[in-house]
Amino acid sequence: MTQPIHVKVNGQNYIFEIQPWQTLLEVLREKLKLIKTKEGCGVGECGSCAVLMNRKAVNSCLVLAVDADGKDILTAEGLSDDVEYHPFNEALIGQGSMRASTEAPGRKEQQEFFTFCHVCPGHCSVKATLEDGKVVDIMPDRESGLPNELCPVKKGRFSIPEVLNHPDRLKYPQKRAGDRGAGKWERISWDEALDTIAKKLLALKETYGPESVAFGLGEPKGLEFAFAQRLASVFGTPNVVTPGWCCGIPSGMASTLTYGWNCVPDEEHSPRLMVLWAINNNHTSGGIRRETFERALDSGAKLIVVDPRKIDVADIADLWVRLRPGSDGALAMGLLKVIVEEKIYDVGFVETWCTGFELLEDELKRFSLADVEEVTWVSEKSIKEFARLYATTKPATIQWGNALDTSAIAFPGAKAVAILRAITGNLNVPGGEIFLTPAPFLRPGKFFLLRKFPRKREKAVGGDFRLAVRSAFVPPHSFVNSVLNGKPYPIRAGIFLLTNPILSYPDSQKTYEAFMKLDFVVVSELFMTPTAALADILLPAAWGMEHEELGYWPGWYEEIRAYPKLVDPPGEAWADTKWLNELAKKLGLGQYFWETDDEALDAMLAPSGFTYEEMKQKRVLHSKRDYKKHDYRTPTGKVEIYSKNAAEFGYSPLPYWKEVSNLPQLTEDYPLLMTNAKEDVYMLTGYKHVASLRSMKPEPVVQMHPATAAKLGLKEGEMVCIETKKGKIEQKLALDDHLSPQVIVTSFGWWFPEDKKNLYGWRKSNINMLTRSEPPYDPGIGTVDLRGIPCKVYKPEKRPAGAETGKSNRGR
Amino acid sequence: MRLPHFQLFAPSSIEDACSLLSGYGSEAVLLAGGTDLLVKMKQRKIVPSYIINLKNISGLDQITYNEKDGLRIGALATIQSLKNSIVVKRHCKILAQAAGVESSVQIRNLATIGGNIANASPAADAPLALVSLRASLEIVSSAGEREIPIEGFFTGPGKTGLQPGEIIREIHVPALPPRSGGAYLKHAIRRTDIAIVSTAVLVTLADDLCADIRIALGSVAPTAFRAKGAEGLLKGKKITADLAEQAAHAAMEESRPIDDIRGYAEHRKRIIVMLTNQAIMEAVRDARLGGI
Repeated sequence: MTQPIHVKVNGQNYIFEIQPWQTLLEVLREKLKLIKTKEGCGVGECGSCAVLMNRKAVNSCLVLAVDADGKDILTAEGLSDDVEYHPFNEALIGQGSMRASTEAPGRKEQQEFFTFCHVCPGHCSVKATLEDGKVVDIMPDRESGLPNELCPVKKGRFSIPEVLNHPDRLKYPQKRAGDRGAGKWERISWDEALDTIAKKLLALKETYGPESVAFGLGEPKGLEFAFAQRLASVFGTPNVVTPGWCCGIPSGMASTLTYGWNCVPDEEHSPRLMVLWAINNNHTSGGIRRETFERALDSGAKLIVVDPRKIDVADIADLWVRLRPGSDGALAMGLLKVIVEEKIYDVGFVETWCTGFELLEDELKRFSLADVEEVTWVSEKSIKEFARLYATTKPATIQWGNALDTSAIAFPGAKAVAILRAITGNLNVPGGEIFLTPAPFLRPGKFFLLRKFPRKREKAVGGDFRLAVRSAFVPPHSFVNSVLNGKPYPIRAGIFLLTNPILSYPDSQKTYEAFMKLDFVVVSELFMTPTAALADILLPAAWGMEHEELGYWPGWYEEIRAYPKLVDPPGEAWADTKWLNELAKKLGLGQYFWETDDEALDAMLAPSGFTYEEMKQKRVLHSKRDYKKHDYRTPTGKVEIYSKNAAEFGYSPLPYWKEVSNLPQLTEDYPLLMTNAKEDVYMLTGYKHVASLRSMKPEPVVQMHPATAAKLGLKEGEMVCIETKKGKIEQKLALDDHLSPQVIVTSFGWWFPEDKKNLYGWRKSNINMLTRSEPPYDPGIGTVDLRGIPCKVYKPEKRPAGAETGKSNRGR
Repeated sequence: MRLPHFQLFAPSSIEDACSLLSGYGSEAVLLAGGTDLLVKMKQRKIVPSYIINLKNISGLDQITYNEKDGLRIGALATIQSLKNSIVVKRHCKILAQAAGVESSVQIRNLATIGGNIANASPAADAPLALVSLRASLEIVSSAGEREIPIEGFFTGPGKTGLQPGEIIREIHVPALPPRSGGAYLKHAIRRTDIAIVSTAVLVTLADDLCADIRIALGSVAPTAFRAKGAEGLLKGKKITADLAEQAAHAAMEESRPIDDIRGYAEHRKRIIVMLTNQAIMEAVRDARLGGI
């Protein structure tokens, strides 16, 4: 039931046929492909969708398109051609409405400091505003020429002032005073905390060997990840769980084993075609930052979006490829088939610089495009269109997202994508896929993998995952299985920082059981979490801006940044680097550490010749683009389509159709496929207690096609049960007719800080209750399927009145 | 997040809106500014089948004032128009102040006073000012119309005394007696954020004594409410700093704050005392200087 509206947009008159539920924002994007008007929070908080309607500023996400009928709309595009400067945006920034202060603008003295947002891997360059010694705002740094376009939802700008001053921050070390997880704590001194940890660790080392102690780490922020890895090395345990097993390593290693490098899209030269494969560079930050993405679109680049969901960039794409979750590898093989068989690859390059091409040709004959369509749910027509557009538009770049890492067949799939990049001649050319020369600082690997203390694979749990151990980690299920089953031996203690395993490891139930079984658990955290609640010793961590810090993550930029200390941490909170440095001393390993942790900052910068104090002025050391022709760091010096080295890690030397097409079957019992996307509003499992973020996304939501919901008798807005072979959870149902009727999209990382009685509701809506820790595993790294999991959805059974827990009482 | 699907009606008269509303009953909701309704729909807190859009009804956004009748505000007047209105600033300053700290300009340009009231958030700013200003609501339905005081209209978070089929058409604020003054103060993470504690105080002086006072508190009980015990301590007396502080403590005792994501009850109690004390003294100063 569409209806026409007449609108003037940026001076031009249009008539659009629209649906009553479409917002003005959606119409601007879908009909006019305007993308500088962005959907951030979608609920009117962030202002990223602001437009002028009849000369009044409004959030276009909260205007029904029908109400724009007869109106005059001005968007950022109508104000300025320069993507880096939107005067309207500047005006909104200037009004100070996001300042975390109740003072009227101009009433109090303010100071501004340049730094970087530290909430997500985007690390936007920002100006932090301080008032009364508190960070009250985070504004884009438009002066330094560094990437600074804040994410549309402005998650750093909202959350940083709130987290820095949050009443729930952990403020002093505590030890468990009741049963594990019972919520009883006793305040202790740092001395007592570190003495207790050191004594316990030394005793375990003495009795069971150093490998009986595991470390669990999350995504690096500053140097704390490197400090913890270094401590693990010198203490002698190879058992360090990091996110590498499902983030960056499968895809990165597939590239490295093909051409000796990981690669990123070129940010200096715009590609003529961008493929956003399971990522949204209009929102998040991969190798293409938002400024680069917009600049490329402005210069006429074409866009292909590969995603099961119709995300906003799919609305403006030349081609949206709605694939079956988990079938990325099969799709890549289909593209290779078209490109190879139609001979639209770079023939000269392949003849001179690739090995194993003939074997690939043979493999591509083993399946038909009809097979690819059956596996990927993408039509042959779309596969051909995608392949032809990609192979014939140069330079082209593929920015891939996390979905290519979260499957037991991630490696062959990513290897197929790596081959696509190579045979189309896009490697290390301007506007293509770039090999970056790192900035001159100590490589993190050199910081923590010390020659004197090699990681012993034979001592590692999950030592069969050779590529994992070589990359300085073990998969989480190896840790969990070791604790629960004693295989190959029992890990007895765990030290966890930057991480919330109860939510983030697959198979939460078993992870919980493992935590309950450990002899000794140390957690360093900002806030109480379901994981922190299970600690024996709980340490209060200082956050970004609360201590001097160097950040080298994300590794794909190959750069390092200084994050100066701007405010004091709350209470007795310490930087993780500080307590790790002090713990090393108490363990008798002080000679491998520093007098104070700050000295490591200078050590990290030594190759550059700068001190940390100088670096605070310089702020960032950039990597370089050398565009060296045919510099492939492989045994043959060529692009290895067929890689003998891969076999060393248990992989096929070539991606085989039978591997990438081997997807879980849908059955009568589990007729739907569950996938998920990281939430714009939050950072992984974190920050559910930050008021501004929680008001944007108050509850976990599962999206489903309306026809499927109708068939199952489910109503939008109600809680539904999602069940796999592993377990069941509840999320709130929302309908989306752009999804495949066989796919549901769940919300990742949910727990409820307000539900103190039930260990913060870690079971209720957490999708890792549904994922498995059992085989099949990726052979080199140990990855399991975290997306594309068969499931069923149904109406929850009626519970007795009053049984509902964790009910939010917001709004008062 | 996209909106759930619904059927939309756009009546051009309030009579038509009333008959649609009574026809579709609980399946239908009214759309004014949309800044609360559409958010709740996107978050799937409510999924209505029918939406009755009031924006095409003309004349519902007027703001007028005369000394006899006081201030009359059409239900579709935007919060920004209250913030900017000269008559509101002159005659009901605290309403303009409250509107001025109600969310961002992009929201204020859409949000309406009628929607703000009907949404019944205990944290809403302009409705709290209206409670202290003795406002009343003109409510219409197919069955007729009635006028009721805004005080008592709110019955719980998100709940009001609106009966099925009723629409708020106009807000009426009586003219203030001479020597009246007021203050609107709010404590929040950001100046324009949802309040953690808010207070609206209106005082009328006679010979330097408090002839009348209304202290309204927001975000510290299931609804906006008047701290009548605190008012009782001040009525008929000369308001001194000590007395104001006593009244502020009384107001705190009358409140029923809870722990939620924006603040703990104990924190709220401390803020109530501080804010109420300050607002009383500011209102008295304002009244002495000739007031609103």
